[in-house]
Amino acid sequence: MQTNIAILKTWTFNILEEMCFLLPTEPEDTLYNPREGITVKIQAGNFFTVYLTFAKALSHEIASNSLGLPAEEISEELVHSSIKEMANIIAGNFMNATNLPAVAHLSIPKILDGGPPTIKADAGESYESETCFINNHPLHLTLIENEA
Amino acid sequence: MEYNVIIVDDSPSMRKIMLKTIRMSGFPVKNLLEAENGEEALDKCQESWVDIIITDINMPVMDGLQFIEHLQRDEVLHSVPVVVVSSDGREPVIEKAKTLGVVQYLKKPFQPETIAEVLKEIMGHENYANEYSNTEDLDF
Repeated sequence: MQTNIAILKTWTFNILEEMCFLLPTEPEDTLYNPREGITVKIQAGNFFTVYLTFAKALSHEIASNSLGLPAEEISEELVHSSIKEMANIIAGNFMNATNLPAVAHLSIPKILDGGPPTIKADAGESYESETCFINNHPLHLTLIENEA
Repeated sequence: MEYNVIIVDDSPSMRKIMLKTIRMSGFPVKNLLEAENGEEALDKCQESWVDIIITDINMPVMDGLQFIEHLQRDEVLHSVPVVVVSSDGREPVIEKAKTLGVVQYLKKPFQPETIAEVLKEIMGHENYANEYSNTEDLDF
């Protein structure tokens, strides 16, 4: 049986491939800081909170590929809008795959100001995270599950 | 005949994708309107006639299901066909949308061809130019 973080990762790969033509790659032999990037937070009711931290270069590729526009025509606002929409679609499909009850509604995706936060689980919550690479750029997935 | 279509989605990037998809589909469009939530869409639908409404569900201010409920209570707008495009594909949510009169529920991500087919089916069009055979460079 797949863990929830594995399900989230699968859907992240599926959506980024289908909508942005971006494929997972093996980690490059370079140092990176998973805390550098743009983080989107989205909640599925009180059940899950998903954080996606996109490397800046990856967020620009997502915007450019999904909109079919050259990089020079992509504003910062469109980059933010594109990765929020990706987070919405990824979390929606994750919610479908984990059969959450209909009362669990997705929150509006939010870009976290001030850079990626240090994400911690509170009491009664579990924490899973994983860094993967998309087109050689890091993407950090964090899943907080309310166990109550 | 050309149609007025409104796209209701809080994401500017998704609205851009939808606008591009519809324009490239060859579906005969007179005006493509945009709104970023249900409340803004209601205002626009009351200001000018729309033939088809394409809406997201998960939006701030007034979400898609609230918007559709308002449409159903309106003596004029209740007859306008509504297509939902949402990442939430859970069966109870789809059922609720259909009980509110939604004619089609598409799950994101979607294929551009699907939008074209749905619009064609709703408006009963068989002969509009199918330009998808010439859209190999269509990115989404």
